[in-house]
Amino acid sequence: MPPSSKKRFNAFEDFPATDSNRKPLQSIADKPAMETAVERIERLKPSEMLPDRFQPRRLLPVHIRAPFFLGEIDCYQAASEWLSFAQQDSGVKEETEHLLNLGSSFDTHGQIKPITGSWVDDAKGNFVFLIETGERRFWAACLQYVTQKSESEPLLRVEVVANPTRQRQVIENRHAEAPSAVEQACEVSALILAELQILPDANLHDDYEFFRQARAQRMPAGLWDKITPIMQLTRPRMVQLLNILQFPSPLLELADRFRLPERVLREILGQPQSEWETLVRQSIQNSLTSDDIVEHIAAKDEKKSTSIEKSTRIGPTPERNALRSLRRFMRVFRKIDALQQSEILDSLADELVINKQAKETLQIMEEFISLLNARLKRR
Amino acid sequence: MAVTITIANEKGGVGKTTTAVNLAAGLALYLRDREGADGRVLMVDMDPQGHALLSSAYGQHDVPASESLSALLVESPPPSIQRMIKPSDHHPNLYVLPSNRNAMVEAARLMPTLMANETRLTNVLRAVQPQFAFIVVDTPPNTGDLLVNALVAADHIIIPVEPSYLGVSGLRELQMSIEQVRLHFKPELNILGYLPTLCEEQRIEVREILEQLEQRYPHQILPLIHKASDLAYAHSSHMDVFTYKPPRQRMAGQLASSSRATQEYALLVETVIERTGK
Repeated sequence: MPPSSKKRFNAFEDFPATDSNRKPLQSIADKPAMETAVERIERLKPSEMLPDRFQPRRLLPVHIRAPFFLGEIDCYQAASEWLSFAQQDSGVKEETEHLLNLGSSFDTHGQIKPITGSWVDDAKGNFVFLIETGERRFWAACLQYVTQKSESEPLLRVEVVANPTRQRQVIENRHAEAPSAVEQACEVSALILAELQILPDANLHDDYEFFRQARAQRMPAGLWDKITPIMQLTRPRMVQLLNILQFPSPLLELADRFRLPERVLREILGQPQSEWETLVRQSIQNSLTSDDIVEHIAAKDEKKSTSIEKSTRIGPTPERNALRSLRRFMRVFRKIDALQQSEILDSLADELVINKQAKETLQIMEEFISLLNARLKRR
Repeated sequence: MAVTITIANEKGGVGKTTTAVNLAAGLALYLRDREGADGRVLMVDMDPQGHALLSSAYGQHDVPASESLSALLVESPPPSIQRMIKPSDHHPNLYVLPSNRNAMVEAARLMPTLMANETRLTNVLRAVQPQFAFIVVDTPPNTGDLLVNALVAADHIIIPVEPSYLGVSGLRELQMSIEQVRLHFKPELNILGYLPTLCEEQRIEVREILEQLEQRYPHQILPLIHKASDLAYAHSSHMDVFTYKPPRQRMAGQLASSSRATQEYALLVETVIERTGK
């Protein structure tokens, strides 16, 4: 208890007499949110970034995509599995080699173009940088990190974009590298869906189902006019590309990986669905063109009509196999000039001699030549 | 969108940091069952001393300057705030914006020379407003651009007041600063309440000052926070008081334990939830 003889001052003596909570003053004009007009380049680690799962250009093999986008493996584990898979698949190997070259160019020349994207939050409340453009640079850095077994994560130049768009993504893809037919189909689809403001569903198991939606949409007036300048293709051409998405997803993956042309896929689509897989695989194995597919189908139809008469025959005979192979051999040569023919024949001769097949081949060819000459003379 | 609450008083030692830490932790506990942004709280420490982070994210309280709050305040354009936000030590839904002590001192010195120096915190927080339910901002015990930024960024202000002669003497200056912020930036800035702290009701002076506060600011006096050793010991243990003195079994929605400090801050949390309409 304070001594009563000492004077005590009022703590509030400097305050105004009435100090009740005043009403807010008249508001001044609302200031709009300040839009950052200046670009900012930052450096992020690949582990702070995430590629766009619904980007039309698909880089990761399908069996790695699912666990990666589900968060079961990180980007470096995905890169490691990708490299392992590349040892078994020539299409994948070519892609990874391109990316590794790109990654090594970062060491030599630095990263020239920044990756663009925006910050989003994941389900756990953490922020992650979602890539809009530059996924190839991302994977190049991851593959390089895994290959070189670096101690510290690489730092990639990124630019935060306020409003990422599908259109920018497609334009960047087309400028960077010529897309495959399947990629082009996905690009057309992605642009259509973006214009119709149809967003991808993260719960989709099959990413291609998102792109297939475009085929079922009613196109409002003017939509094709918006897409044409970006794709630089005519409307009929874009419709042809969209039709590719009729293939089941495993075949789309194959066609994308081995960059089958649209014309080949179009011819295959014209066949019964039960034959699609066989034709796709044959196209990949034998590097068939669309004309080859047509001839193949024609030969097959011819075979079918004769097999009705010879119903006991189950499979192709050695004669037919040999004739088919000889026709294919001749087709190759018909399409090239004389100089190239000479070069190829020279190379084939070397190959047969090295493999000790030259004598046997010569005997068979000499007999065949004599038979051909005999028939031609009789004419 | 997040509700931003700034804890401010230009006088030091009145319990701003204690209030900021325990309010943020209490809100995180209260909201822990809510999904997504509705359940997340962000704490921002604008005080160069960085004491708030000692209790909530001890390992993050002195990150490199380029990865800290000071970079957001002084660089033009600022780096991405998203890559700087880190989870706290004790609550999975409480996040912190780390700071660097020396860099914050430097930032306080630089900011008067920069353009738009009062609105920098507002601009950087705008990017993450949709990702949180509450943003709690601790402030330094002096008038300057760091405090002004925190006031401009706020939707509500809580003013801890030590009920003593010297404790009240700093209120007038703060109120004038708030008036200036209302005039130039944010007319809708609201004083959510005056929070009596370090209360020792056995002293006559304390009771008198509390009565005068109630007369001057009717319906704006928040539940008292008494002086308590639990609060001091929680700080030195690098914890908030709810973590330092948890209940034996935390039931759903329960914040308080037998510790009076936890009960008083729990009541503050409930009052804040009620008055902010969250």
